[in-house]
Amino acid sequence: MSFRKRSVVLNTSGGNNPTSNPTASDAPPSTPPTPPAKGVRPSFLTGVPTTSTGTASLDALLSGHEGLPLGSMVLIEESSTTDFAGALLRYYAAEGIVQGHDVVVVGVGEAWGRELPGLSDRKEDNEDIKRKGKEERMKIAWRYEALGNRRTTDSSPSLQMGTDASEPISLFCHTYDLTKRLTIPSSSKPPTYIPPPSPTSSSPFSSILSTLYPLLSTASSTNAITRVIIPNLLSPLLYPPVSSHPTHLLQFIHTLRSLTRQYSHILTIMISFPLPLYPRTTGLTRHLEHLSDATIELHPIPTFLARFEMTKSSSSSTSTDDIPQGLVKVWKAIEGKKGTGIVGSSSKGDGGGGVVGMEGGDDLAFMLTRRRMRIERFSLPVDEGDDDGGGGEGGHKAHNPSSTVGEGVGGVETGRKMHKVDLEF
Amino acid sequence: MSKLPTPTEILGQSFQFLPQESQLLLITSVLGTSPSWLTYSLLHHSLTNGENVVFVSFINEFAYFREGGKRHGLDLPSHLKKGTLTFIDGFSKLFLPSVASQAQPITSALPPSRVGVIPSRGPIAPRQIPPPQSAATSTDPIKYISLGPSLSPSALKQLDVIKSTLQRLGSNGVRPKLVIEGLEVLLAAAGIDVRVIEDMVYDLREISSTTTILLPSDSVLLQTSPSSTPLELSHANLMISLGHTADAILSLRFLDTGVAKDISGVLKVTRGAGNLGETGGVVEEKEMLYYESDTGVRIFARGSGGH
Repeated sequence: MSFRKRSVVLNTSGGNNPTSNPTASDAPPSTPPTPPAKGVRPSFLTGVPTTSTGTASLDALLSGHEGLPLGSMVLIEESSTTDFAGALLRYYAAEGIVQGHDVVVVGVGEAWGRELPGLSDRKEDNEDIKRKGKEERMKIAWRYEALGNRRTTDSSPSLQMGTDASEPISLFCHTYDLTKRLTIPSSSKPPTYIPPPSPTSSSPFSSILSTLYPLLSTASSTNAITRVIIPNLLSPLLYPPVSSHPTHLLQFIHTLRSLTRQYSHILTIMISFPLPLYPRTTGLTRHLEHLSDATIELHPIPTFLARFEMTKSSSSSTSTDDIPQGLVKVWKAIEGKKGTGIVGSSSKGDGGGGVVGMEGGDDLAFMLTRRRMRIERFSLPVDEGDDDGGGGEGGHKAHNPSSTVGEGVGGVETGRKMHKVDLEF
Repeated sequence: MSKLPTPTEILGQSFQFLPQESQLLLITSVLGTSPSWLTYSLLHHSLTNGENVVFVSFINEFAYFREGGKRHGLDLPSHLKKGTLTFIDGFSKLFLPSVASQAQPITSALPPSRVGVIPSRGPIAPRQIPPPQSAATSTDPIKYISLGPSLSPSALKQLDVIKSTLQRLGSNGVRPKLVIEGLEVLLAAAGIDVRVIEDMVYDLREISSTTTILLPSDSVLLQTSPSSTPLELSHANLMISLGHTADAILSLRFLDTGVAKDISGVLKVTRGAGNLGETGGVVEEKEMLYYESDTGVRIFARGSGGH
């Protein structure tokens, strides 16, 4: 079993070539500027081609694939009037543009696209991720370290295909700076914008779909990786009231789902959805979740509360970067192995533990800083100093004795806190 | 290849004594618990026993089940080729514009098979022996259902392909089994009236041996309140009416107490109100834990640890 699995991965990672070879035969005359396999790498779990969401920590959430498998649709729900989901979507769009993918933005105008975050110009930033990742990984189980090494080595072959001037394309997932604006590199196509449905149309989504079909069939013929981004689906600012009728919305989503399957070699879709308008307690939202491949809810919590909780135990040293702005809930995890319904990977030791975070059922929090969005394991700070790291884990519903993985983030934080507490006493 | 519990392990030894005609098995699940493995278990049982199976899905394409089946040692394409399995794809082209679907040769093969109930028995009966083979060789083994982007009453006729397939396979006297996944799409997305769907299910049950229906049973879809929309009401309506006629209900849900690393969820087996008692077959009512992993699915009693 293990031998077979390994061979699958090796074959496909043997240089993204299986994916790029057929294209090389079909496509080269038509698309020299967009190397097809750029920004695509095989899943660490199954070897299916995946692409990055633009947020490294979100990639890590995807059931061990370490990337978003092509042919899947992700629903990002946000249970507040904030726009954290918008940040995730912008990273996803920016990553697509930097990698030279086709980016299709539905429902919002070009103004949305002008606010894409620029690549972080801090040279050390990308290095920073690697190094920081490595440091953290040292504290994680050894098998994760191996995964991390593969991450860095694996990404290098795919880069050589790209010849982008602006940035060393040595990364599967880039780092962005929200304070900057992305300048579209000459090698990339500018995003395509599909206007929102007109307020009077009786079938609001048909216009979107009829624009999308030809785009996808062209992209498919040239094997151009395509990202479809639908920000704030059903927001009354963009969509007419009739579009929230179940038959309209769910037919649209069902069609998108079937498109992801039909174009499973090029297409990924990311949708953000405002929960305050369509709560999860409605059948409409639940059907939407059932039809998507992954459902992630961002649940912002008032910052002051988090700040208070954090500063209570660690006074000044904690920079604002470490204060979570909300919780992340994975309601539906992407299937680890297609067709099985298994969301985790047993090689990681967690199996399909139901609602899966990075590791079955841990609480997750997100932090949006000026420079990047991170999703990390969340644990309430410890009140008293006891043994290192372990205290922060106590609150977890499923304490995972099999590994020290839980300490990845919690351990670092609590470690620092411990230090502080000691000084205070 | 991984191991799956057999239907007998899940439903108890006496399950096989249940009446085999028009039997209804309801499989419910909630968001995040995939009932796929139960489907594979049932398919495996039926297909290895040489029974004909008609598999209809409105939410997944064949490739999905091909991949998943492969992991459980179930070679669906070969069964498809042999004709013992007929896959009706109500997913890939369900709402695609008719222009696109007409361009496909597969859907153009639909109209001949789409005939009324009684007339179809006439022409098909003579060729009793070859039907599975001829079906497999003459047409694409996967049939597609396409309702088109705007639902018209005539589009509903497309659903008759399920019935005509069952009739064709059952024309030699042995009724095929039927598995339907994703009826909620017809209800919620296509906006088909719940009574039409219930009628369809009754019609289909009449001409099949065991009908297995997979439906989501999240509480938000079932709990009705004065503020419920027709969407929730019709889903609850369908679920409850099916639940009351089912011979057995298998429901998957999460562990009530939270997430555990070696438990995927809870499998509850409930006796339905169906044809019980006539043949002495009894479904053992029980609640078990299950765990899905690379090595297959294990079901075990609460507290037995599963080691």
